[in-house]
Amino acid sequence: MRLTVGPGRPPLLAWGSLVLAAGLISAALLIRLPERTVGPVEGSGSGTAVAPLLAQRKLEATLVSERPGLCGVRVQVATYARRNTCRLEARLLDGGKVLARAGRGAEWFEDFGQADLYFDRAFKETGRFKVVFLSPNSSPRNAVGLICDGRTGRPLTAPVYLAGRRSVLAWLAANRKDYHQLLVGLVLFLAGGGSLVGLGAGLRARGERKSRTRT
Amino acid sequence: MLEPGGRAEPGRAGAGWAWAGLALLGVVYSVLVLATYLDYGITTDEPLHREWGQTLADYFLSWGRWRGAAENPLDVFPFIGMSVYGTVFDLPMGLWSRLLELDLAGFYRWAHLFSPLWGLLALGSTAALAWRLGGPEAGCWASWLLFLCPRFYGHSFNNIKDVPLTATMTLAVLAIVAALDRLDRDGRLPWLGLGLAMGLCVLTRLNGLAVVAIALGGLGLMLLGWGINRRLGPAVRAPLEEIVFRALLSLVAAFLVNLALWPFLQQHPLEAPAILQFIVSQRRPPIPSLFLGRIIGASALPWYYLPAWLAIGLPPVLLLGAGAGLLLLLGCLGRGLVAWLRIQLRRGGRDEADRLVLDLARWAVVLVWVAGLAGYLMLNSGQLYDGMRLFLFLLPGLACLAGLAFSRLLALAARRRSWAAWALAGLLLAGLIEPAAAMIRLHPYQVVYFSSLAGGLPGAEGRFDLDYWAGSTGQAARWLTGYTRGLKGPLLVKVTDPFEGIALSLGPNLKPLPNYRVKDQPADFFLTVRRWDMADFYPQAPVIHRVERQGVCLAVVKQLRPVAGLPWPPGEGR
Repeated sequence: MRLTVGPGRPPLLAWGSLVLAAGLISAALLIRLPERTVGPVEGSGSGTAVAPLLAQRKLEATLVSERPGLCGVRVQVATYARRNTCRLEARLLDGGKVLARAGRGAEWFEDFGQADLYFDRAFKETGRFKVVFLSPNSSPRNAVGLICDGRTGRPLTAPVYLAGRRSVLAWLAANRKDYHQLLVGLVLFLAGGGSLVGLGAGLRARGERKSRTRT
Repeated sequence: MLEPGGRAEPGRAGAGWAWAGLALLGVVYSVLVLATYLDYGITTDEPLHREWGQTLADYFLSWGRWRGAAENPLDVFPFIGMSVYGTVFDLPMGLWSRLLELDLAGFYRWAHLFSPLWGLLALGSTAALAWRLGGPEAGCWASWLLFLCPRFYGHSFNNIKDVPLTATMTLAVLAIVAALDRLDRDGRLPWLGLGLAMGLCVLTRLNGLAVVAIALGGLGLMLLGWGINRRLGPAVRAPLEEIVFRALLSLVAAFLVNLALWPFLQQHPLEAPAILQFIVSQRRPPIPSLFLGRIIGASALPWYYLPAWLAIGLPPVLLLGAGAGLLLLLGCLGRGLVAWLRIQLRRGGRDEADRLVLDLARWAVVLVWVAGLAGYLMLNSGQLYDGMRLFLFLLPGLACLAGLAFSRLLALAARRRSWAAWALAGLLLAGLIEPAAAMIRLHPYQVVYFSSLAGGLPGAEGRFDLDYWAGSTGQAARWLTGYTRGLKGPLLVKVTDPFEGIALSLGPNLKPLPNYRVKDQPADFFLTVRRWDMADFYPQAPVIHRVERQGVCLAVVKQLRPVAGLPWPPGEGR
């Protein structure tokens, strides 16, 4: 038995494909993802050192925001070649006042990889900020280290800016061209296939109507 | 039943008996698994897949941030990177071990309980496929024949890749046969089932791509036949473009399933053709095989390696049934083709011609699965080693054929004389006693079963590979642990693969050493599976223990030097 939406109408397959294609492309256009850029590293000196971030210990650094939109800080982390379940936190300070907080579980940090911590809001202000790193639930066997400037002993940091928001489609086009092509290809396939099936069904229904009228 | 243009429409009694038989099989299999899964040793590749499964779990638990699974840091398989390995069988155990934070021993205990689930899936898919093709009795016979195939049963416990491939390939063939029936209909989404089944099969091992080719071949045959049938009149089924669109949707679904679960593809989604080309062109490691008394390199294996292994490694009842089923299938194909040609010549009814084409396509799919893939492997026998392990996926197809043949023979006998049907059923059941008895005798090494026609296990000794996956080394290690209990350690034990499995079974006073070929390195014991020349190492050292079945040695323990507290020279078999 063939299920049809109505007499002489295209089958469910055509409608379903077209609706799915429309849904996918709408979602890709309407859902917006934050676009972030990273500024230059502050504090790179002649060498580097690893400073372990144990509980009760704080590491201070300077974060220089050269343009509006500061939304996070990038640091380089050491995991001591193990998986740590502690949490890395950052506090953005102005004088003694906490302006914003950021935090992230350290479980999936890569050794000597970069970790971005995003603040709970973005700042229009520019200038120099103090940022404090801490890991309150760490222990000697469960802690990460921050890569620091060998001369000053302060963590190497880079500002992360919010450059606006882009639709998923535009974000993919800019960052993952392969997925962009896949998404566009899938939408075209569903729309083209659904249209073809629907068109075929419509033409056949029209032919049947004509032949019925003649008889 | 299995007739051109016919349908499997059993009587209620037949279906009732079949359901009862299948339920009994499910209960028997489950009870056996729960009672015996701890008896099975760790095999050669299991440590490799444990590590890979946990890497995969880390990748998915970290939402792709842990890139190990996508970038292949293990690099342990120089011939085929683990990252192009499928994920279906390794990922669940990897996730489970991360969730429960399992230690090594715990991991393998759970893995040997998880692995038989794939065997159960293979049994269920085989029953469903044979049921669909030939009715309930065929389904029941096929599943019992597969269950009583000792090599399939034994592999189900500790073969973490070939049995999953067997299960998913059978499921995919079932989905193809079902989709051919239903692709022209809206409503039940047969294309989605087909896509998921094909996707899972490819995700298990990339060799599973064969099912995509089989699906496309079956569909192409059906569309060609229906295209020719157009001259007979209008069709009641969906138009061509709808069927083609559904088939393409199934391919898209298969790709999306792979994309969702395959880290390497997630990182390189448009490189699927390149991966495919790599897989097709790659050669397997040149693992030598003991075949007909000679150790032969993989590239020099004769074309008859596969049929010879089927002949000696399958129970006679399954072999005979599969042969009869193949003849039956060929007969049906021939008769169906003749009937279809007759309709074309006489300009008969379109409906009947379409139904015949559908049957021909379904039977062709099964024929290509069993005979076509076997033929391909025979032409490329340089890809084979490890006895029957790499073509275990043929067994459900052979069991289906045997099930079809037996149910047909019983139906024919019942039509003539009821006592003849009972006699035949008794004869077939008697044929099942031989593999069942061998499975009990060989436990837990059912993978070393050899047909009684080939002289059983003693007849194969020195002529064919026996315990090629070294499952018997665990038992040897446990014996050595008992033998040296209370002695001061560490006592050094040179071991062959699977190092991790043997190390787990050794007591705390025994220290395993992996480099058994370094003769200058001092050690107290040598423990190895009996394969190639490994048991001949240290020929002067006395053998203190053998793991045997039917008088044939599978693994040995040798004492290399005097040990305080143990007799020297030692007496064997203590």
